[in-house]
Amino acid sequence: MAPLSLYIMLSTILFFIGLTGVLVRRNIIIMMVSIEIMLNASNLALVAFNRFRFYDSNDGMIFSFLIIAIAAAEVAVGLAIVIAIYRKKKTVMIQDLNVMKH
Amino acid sequence: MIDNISTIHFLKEMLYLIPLLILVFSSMIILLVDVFAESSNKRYLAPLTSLFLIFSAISIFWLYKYIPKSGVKILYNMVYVDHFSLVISAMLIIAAIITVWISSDYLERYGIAIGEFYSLLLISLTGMILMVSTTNLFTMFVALELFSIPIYVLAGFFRVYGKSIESSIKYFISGSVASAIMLYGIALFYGVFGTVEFSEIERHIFNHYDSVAQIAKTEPLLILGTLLIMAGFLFKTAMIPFHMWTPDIYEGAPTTVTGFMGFAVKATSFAAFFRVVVSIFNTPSLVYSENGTISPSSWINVIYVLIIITLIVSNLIAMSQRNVKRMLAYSSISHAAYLMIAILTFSLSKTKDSYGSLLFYLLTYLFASIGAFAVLSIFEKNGSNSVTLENLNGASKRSPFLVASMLIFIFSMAGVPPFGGFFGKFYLLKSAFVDGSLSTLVLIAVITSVIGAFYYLRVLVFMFMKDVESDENIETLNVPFLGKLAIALSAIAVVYLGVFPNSLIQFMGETISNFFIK
Repeated sequence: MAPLSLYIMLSTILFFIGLTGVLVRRNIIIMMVSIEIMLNASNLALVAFNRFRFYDSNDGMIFSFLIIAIAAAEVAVGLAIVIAIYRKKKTVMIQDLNVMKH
Repeated sequence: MIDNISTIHFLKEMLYLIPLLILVFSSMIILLVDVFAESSNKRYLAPLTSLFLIFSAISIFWLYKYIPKSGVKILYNMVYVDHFSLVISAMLIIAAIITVWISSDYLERYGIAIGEFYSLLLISLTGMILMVSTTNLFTMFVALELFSIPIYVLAGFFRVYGKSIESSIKYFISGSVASAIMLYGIALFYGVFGTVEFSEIERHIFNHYDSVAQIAKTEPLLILGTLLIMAGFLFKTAMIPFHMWTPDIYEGAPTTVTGFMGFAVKATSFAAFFRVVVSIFNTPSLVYSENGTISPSSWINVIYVLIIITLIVSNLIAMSQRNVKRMLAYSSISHAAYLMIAILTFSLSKTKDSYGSLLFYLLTYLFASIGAFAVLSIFEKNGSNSVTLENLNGASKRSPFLVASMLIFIFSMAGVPPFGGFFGKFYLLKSAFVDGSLSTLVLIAVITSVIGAFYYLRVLVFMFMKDVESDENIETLNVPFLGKLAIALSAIAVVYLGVFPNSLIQFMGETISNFFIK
């Protein structure tokens, strides 16, 4: 089986892919996907730590389920907001949302 | 088969959760009432909501007498109810009551008087109270999401106005990124300790590590986790450089929501951060190097530098704002810096003087900030969802009552002596100064608060000294009864805190010293 360090490395890479995605991409939907990637990076880290270091309890695994539920709730609300934006502005690109700059 | 003993035990634990349970059930009841009530009866939703909130507040006062000083851990150590959490919860509920009273008329004027508003407010309040009453990082994260998600929706509640929905999506994206960052920090903490319970983490750090340098060498993930969790909190408390979301969201959100958000999100995050600092970050091996001095790579130095930057930058930017809501957003950022000074003082000094200052400052900030936003929500022009300085022209002729209360709130925030805000700042800076190592910080705080007085007083200049050009605009504003009550009570509270601060300071200090009863 692959060692713990590989899992943690993968989860770190995923986390930074997500963070970069949020910072670089301009489409709100893609930004939300990137946030999901960040959350799932934490899930992977939790499950890997649980399996390799603290295998006599299931805390990490259980918490990763909680995070999946939270992520679903977050996306549900996020998409609703995106729909409201699309109705109002006919766009989902973040650079078009600059009413308050001036 | 039902185990009788465990059932009784369960019911007994539920007793400690009564304030939370009342809020959860009332949010559902409000939704149901909203669906089935006739539209002419919907104006009773606000009094109904405040009735539930008052019940919840009463149960908090009752619990305060009932629980021991060391607090109670319930639900398998997931929730921890103690005097500190109850005091913060009481403040949050007061904030919610004031918000509900002002919102009922405000929402009606915008034609969006629907029950979801109150329901979301109550759910968010539930999350906030849960967040301050836990010593478990997992529960804290769940509670953080529980109070954030309804706030995202509330910020975009005026979905027909571009500004509101824009502020909502900005808050959603930046807030979710901050929680994801914090979550990764929590995952790393779990990886290092195998537990997320504060006291066990503290014991583990205390037993296994001596200094920051040693931790960096043997368990670098712990340092990284500390920084990530701290970044999450710094975002929620809107310290510079994590403040970019604040001005836009404060400006775009419905004004009463801004008032609630400005206090409640800040207070909750500070209270939770305070718990994390007291239990985990304050462990000597996370602060000091081997020879007993503060390690250069410790979190304390990060906070120290950020406080200086925040104090200077926020006050300078606030001076150039014409939009009053935006200006108050920057002012709230500078208040965050003051609260952070209180936390820093607490972790560096060994005297009991600093104990009460954080909670007392929060209390003065509660009434001044929500009161100011309440006044603005009445002054704002219909449909614009914003207030510029010019909108306040001739305000003293339109409603002397509102202007007089605004004067009290603004003086309190600026730190003018007879009002609560002055004593909040005074006690906070005094305890930081007595400690000695923070005297530079105190000096900068005093200088920047003088700069701050400039933009606070400018609001009053526009209210009292400028007149509107055309006569048609001078019409007296009629303030709704509940709104008047809320504003008057906040103003009285601010004055009371300024005139009789001593007993409350002492009370707050005792609340905090309960942390150290083992």
